[in-house]
Amino acid sequence: MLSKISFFNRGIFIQSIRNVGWIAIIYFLGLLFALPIHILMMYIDENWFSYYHSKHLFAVSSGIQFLLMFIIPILLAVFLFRYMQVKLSADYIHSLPLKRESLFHQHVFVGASIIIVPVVAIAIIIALLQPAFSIDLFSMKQIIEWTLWTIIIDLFFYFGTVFVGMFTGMSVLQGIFAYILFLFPAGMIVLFTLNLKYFLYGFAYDYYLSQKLENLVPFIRVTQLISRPFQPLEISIYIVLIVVFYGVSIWLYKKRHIETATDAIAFRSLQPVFKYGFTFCVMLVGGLYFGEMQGDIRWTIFGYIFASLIGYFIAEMILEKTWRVFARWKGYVGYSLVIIAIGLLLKADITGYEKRIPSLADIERAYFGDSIYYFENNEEGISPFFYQKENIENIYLFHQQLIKDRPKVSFQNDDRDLRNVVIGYDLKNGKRIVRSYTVPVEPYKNFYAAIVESKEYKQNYYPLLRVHRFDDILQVSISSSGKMIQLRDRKQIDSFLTTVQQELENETFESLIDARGYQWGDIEVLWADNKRMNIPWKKSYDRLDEWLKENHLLDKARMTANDVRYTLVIENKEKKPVYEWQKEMIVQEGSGWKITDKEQIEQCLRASSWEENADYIVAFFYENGSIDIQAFRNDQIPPFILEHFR
Amino acid sequence: MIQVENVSKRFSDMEAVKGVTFTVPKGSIYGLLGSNGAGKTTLLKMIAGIYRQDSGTIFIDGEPIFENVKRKERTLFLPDALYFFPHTTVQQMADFYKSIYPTWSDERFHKLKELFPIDVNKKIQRMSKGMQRQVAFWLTLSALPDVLILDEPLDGLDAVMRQKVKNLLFQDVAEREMTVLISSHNLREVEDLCDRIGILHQGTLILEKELDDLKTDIHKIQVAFKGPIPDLFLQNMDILYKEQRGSVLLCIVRGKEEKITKHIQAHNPILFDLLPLTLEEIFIYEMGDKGYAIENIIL
Repeated sequence: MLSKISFFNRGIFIQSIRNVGWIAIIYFLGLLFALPIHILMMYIDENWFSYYHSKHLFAVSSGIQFLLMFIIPILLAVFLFRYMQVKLSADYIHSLPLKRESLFHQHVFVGASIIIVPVVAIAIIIALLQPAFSIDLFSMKQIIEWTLWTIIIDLFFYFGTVFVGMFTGMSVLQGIFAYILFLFPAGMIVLFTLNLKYFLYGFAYDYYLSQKLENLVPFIRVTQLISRPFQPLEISIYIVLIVVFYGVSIWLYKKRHIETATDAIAFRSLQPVFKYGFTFCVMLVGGLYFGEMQGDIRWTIFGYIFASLIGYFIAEMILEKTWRVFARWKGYVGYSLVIIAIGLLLKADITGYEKRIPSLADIERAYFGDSIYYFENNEEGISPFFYQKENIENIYLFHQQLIKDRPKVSFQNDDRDLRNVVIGYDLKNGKRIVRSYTVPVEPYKNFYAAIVESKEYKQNYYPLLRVHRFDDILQVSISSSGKMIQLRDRKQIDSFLTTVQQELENETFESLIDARGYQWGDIEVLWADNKRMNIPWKKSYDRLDEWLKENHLLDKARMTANDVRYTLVIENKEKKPVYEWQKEMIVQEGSGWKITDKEQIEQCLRASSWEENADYIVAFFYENGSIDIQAFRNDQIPPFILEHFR
Repeated sequence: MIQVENVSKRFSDMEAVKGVTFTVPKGSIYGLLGSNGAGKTTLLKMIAGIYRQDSGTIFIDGEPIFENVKRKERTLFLPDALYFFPHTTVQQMADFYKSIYPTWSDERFHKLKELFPIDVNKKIQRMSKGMQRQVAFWLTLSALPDVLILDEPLDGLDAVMRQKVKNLLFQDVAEREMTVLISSHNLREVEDLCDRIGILHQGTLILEKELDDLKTDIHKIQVAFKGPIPDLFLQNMDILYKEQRGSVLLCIVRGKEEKITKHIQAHNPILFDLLPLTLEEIFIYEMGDKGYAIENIIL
């Protein structure tokens, strides 16, 4: 039977088995320890059993399993095709009366069986072990699934490595290129999108990056198998890729010159592709590194030049296999000219990307937020879109203004004034336009306020505003540091939540965008069906304070002046951040002003926050002995303090 | 029979073989001479079907050799740097050859064992260079090739073994009409072996000769005349080299012996000697005639 297969040759078969058979043994032993032996060792542990009972076979010693998966097939392909990469053996093997096709098939099939045999053997052992356990640990379907998926992933890595092996004449590079190949699609997308934002003002890079990028990295996708099984489409893609790798490999092998063993790139025509491709990738990495670290276009350009030079000469060194490549600078000049031309074209915005804005009439709905997340992920309870004409118009106007102004942003500025603005439109023709900007808040306050103070925004932002009946609510908890009250009385709940809603509806822009802890605590609403909703309890919510006072709950809900024995205000001359102030430093600080007046203490409580760069530090000494150190934002300092320190 | 026609091969930074044409008839031994880097190995690897030529054709027994299993089964190549599978013994390699070459003869293998005093169960890579080369010859000749291509085959063999191998080659050529192509950088090493010699220099075949022709066609003469050398004397001779020591003229000339003798006698020299030339001398003068200094090319 075997002799009928034209490519089979006993001698070559024995040689390949001798060459790579040990890999099958290692793989088998590795899996044996990772799975059957591990399962047996855990047999006595009931907790372990009940835990893994609900899990996939991939979850058992997953670290070892995945490590083997990421190493064995690549190692195998490198060793198997090493005969091509060493001059002596390449010459020898190809002097034998065997067609390359049959050499290739023979090696490839030996390799494939070295993967398949151990996996199948382990699957059989696990299946045979099953009856020995008191409970059904893994179903037959799971074992088969595990076997198939493991083999397919292994073969994918294996054929990928065989494929890159055809392009290079060095085993080391074959291994390195293999790992690069598997990271290449995701890596390129990240590099391109992140670099494009330096060229296109408003480019919403995170919109393109958030699109399930990890599915493109097999190393990441595979580790997710524990919780996220393969979809039929994914498996089909892997199989198609295996077939493509296989087909292209044999095609290339027939074209390959045997004398290219030990060359970095086996095909002359691909050498410039490698050289300039490598230069380009290193350039993007370098530009990105300096761009992100320094946030300055001059540093970005320095990164591009510096990294591309390094990349270019490294590529030359790899190709020429010598250090002395610095005389070959002409190619770099040509490369730079092309890159400068492309960069200028991008900067010139020839496609009109930066200025593109749809006409108002075409917009179906608009998105406005500080992150891309809700634009794509319509989480329950959050509808991030604006439908009302007036609001769409305000977003549109803001957008127009940004395109016109292009506000300069640098990290040297007080970056707390900077906010991300993501603007998106869903057009009536089904198209989407997304832009992302970094904007200083102060000059655009009016534009911001118009959008953020709208009823629609608040309804999107605060789910509580979309609740109109409070009948099903079980309780409302109001908590702040150390204190908590729970409202269960229906009438009380009704009146409290109505007050909260009024508070939210009337909230100003300043309070809305504040993220610096002007907050007493948190309000949690609990429904009968266990649904929960949380609303921040901000210090600006005066009506809420009023309500609590009227219901005699204020003292129970938060610290008030009655809880404070005295307050110490210290001038923060060194501008030390509030979190660096310790209790001992406060006590030792002689210049502090001790306040005991209850009215003034209350004012201090209401004005204090976690401001970092504050002129005054305030320490509250509570009756219960604890101390709280906070600060005043410079425009929120109570007048009597300024008076005192003047 | 090996037919090489206008074959060229370029490597990335240089042209290794440029338009080489030559033929090795069936049952003859062809010596390819040239210095290191002349392109010999590249040419041989193309003829063995390992490298693909950029242009030109290579036929072995009437068929192109490249990727031709039938022809490669009968064509064996012995490279200058030998390769054996890692950790194999002679016996294991023999089994491998047997599975690869249909003409493999166990009988021949056992017969040759007497000639090569080597333990078949010894690992080849542990052997000395000379022994490895013996193993290579042993295996190759046991496969009974029609065409044998040898790249610097005698390097590393002692004088006794050299002669043994040469005898084996002669035997196969005589008995089975094996065709042999052999390369060397040393003329003396192959002059007693080859029927025909080609000299490769910088990728081009600059000279090709039947050895018998060479030996009969070139002569060294010494003449002296009473007076000055007659003008007509030099004009009608094909002189490769001439040198005057006092009144004695020393020349290397090309031509048939009788004709030269007759011509010289006609001028009544007082001294006339016609001496035989070694093959090496012949090459020195032939190539000097073509403008090459032989030291740069072979020896």
